[in-house]
Amino acid sequence: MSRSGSSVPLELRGFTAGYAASDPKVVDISLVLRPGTTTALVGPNGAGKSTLLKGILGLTPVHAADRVRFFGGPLERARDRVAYLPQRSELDWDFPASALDIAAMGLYRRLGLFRRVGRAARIEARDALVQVGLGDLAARPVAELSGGQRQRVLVARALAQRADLLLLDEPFANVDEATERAIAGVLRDIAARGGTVLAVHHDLSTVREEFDDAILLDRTIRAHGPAGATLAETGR
Amino acid sequence: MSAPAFGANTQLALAGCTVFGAVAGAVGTFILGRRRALLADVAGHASLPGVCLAFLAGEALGLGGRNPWLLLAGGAATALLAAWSVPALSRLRGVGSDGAVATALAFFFGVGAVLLSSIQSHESGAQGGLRTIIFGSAAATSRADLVALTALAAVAAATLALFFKELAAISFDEPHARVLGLPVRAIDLVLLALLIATVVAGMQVAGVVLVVAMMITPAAAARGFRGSIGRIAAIAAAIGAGSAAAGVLLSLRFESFPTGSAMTLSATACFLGSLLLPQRRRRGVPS
Amino acid sequence: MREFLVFDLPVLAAALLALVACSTLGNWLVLRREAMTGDAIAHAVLPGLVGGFVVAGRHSVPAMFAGAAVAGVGAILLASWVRRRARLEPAAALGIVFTAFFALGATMLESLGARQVDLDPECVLFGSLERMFFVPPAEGPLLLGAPREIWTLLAAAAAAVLTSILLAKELRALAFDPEFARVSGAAPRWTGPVSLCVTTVAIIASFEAVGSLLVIALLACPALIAAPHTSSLRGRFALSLAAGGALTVVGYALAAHAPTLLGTRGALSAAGMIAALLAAAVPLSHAMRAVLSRRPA
Repeated sequence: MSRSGSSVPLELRGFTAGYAASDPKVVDISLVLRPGTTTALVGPNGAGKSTLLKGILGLTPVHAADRVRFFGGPLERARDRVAYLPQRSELDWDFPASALDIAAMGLYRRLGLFRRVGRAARIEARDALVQVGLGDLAARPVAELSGGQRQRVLVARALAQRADLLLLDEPFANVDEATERAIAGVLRDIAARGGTVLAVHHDLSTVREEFDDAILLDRTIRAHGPAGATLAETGR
Repeated sequence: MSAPAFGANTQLALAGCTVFGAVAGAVGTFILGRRRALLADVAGHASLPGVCLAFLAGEALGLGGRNPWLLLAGGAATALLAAWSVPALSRLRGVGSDGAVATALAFFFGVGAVLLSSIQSHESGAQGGLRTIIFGSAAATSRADLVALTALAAVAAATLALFFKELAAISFDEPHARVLGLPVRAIDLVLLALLIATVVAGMQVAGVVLVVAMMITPAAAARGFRGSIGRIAAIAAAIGAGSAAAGVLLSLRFESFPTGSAMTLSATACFLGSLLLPQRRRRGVPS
Repeated sequence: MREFLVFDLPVLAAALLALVACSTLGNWLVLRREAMTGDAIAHAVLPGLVGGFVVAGRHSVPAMFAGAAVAGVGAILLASWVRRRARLEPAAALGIVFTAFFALGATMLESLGARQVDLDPECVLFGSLERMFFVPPAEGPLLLGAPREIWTLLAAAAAAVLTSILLAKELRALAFDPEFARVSGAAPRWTGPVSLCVTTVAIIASFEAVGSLLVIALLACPALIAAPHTSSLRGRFALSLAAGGALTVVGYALAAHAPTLLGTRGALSAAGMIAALLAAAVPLSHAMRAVLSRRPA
């Protein structure tokens, strides 16, 4: 999986972001992610977890940043290596598209401008769906899928991107246990292949078994290290 | 004043439009608060078919097509119908609030266009005045109409004063109002009634297309000021009254300045001015 | 037959071309829940149209088009600024800016005198479909006799369809999940603005022939009519054109021939009739779907 650039998937230094400049949601964040790991981003409600993700991706105003490096360079140069899963609830699932159509969106950048989604692309998208266990639902309109299935479609979309770094916002929110295990398995596979995962996670009880590392965020970083040790040290 | 003599009709137009402008500004404060700007737009456009139907009914019943109360009632009826249809349409799958507004507007204004074109091919000379309802004209509004709109605006003002506290409560903190036990739906209906009344009161002078501007622009200008909701509504009323009066005077002085446009541009000038105020300069989360 | 060719065919051609131009791009607007943007643009272009006329000194299509485009795009940018500066909800900011533009345009129009601009205030809202007709040229190809508006509409319709096809997947990604599209590069940054510009072009081109009322209806209603019946994008586009086309023809037929049937004089507003039919079809289409899906498979 080695391409040009450093192998550090994400490096932040002095990162401050949020809508209100006078009262930013996250302040002076500095962190380095290890390649080939899955990291959970945890913290109380309103701690700024989503803001952090959106901020480093340029979706929310950034007020200060000494360093924001994706694989050693700016996001612009690493776009095809970074995948983002927003919170499922932010999307309008009445959209007229099948699971395959949405998964295929992960291929758009690689296909290039003006190119149609051809047979090869559809096969790739279907493979991604198979990986998340939705192979036989490829043609189903997303409006007819359950919450857990929709979440898997979004993961398939990220897989189709063949990204090396996945940033997920609450991937396990409101999904059934089977879906959670399936997605967690996919994330572990990605890490095993050398990819890196950073996921906002709300359920402290499952962090230890599903993630390698944990970051405890509450406006600033309170702790960052192996999941078990970090949570234990903060008394959770 | 030079060209048009400041006659009795002008004074009446000025008085009526000022009252209308004041009410529009005050009601607009709550329209903005409840995020009903698009609904006001629909209501404005939707009064056209009702006015046309009222005209036809008046002619048919021998009351004369230009009976002011009949026209007001007709306009109010279709505006109300349109306002009711928007939430209903928005619940349809894939339509949403934006699609609902576009659909309602297209339907009611479309029917209005058809009726208007039908009326215009009538022999009757009275229909000439109906055209001005689209862009508004203080000069073309008859004395009887002015009296009617002033009366309606005054009633609306009184109603607003009566329900002021309740409207303020639900506009700025609805959950709190519910907790207090206020009948939110009933108060919303009062606001709707005020919206419709304002729209039909202003439709002849400001025109159905721009009457919405007289509600939201002065109110938006007033929001820049600090203070209680009462103070803001009063400022909105003042700006609305001033813009309306300016609009009347300008359109009487310059024949090619349609009244609705003159009012809107005056209000917009006030709004742009309000953006320069120091109060507006504080940063904060967009509402 | 001759009457049809001279009077009805040009109108139908114009209306159907406007349908293609507006509903194609309108589908994307509806998917992004921005149906009222078309309404806003349709009102905002007026001062630009009139301004272009003033600058060119005559009814010059390129000048008026350019003016309208500048006004339309400028108004959108201004509305965005107002929204941030004044901290208003988007609809209110749009409303303030677009009514102001429209008021300015209406004033400019009245000052110039309607005849000169070949555009009177009512035509702005309701179009001039009833007044379009074909003038067989003394010499040269027959098509030269087509009303001027047909050519701009043809170009706009072609531009709209081309944009929709070339940028199909980008627009789709943008409509479903704009954040993902931006981050993953599925849709380059300029996709949104470009599609908005082409939409503005379609609106301006349709303006003169069908008026802002029908433009609003054409942008939003065909897509809304098609929505409950199909779960694929292609189906939506196809159905919106088919349903929109049928209703346009019926609407025009009613407007043109109802007076004769009823014994009254003068044509009814074709734009108004078509708009009303398209809008009425939205809830009816949903009702039809509800009825159809209750039948046993």
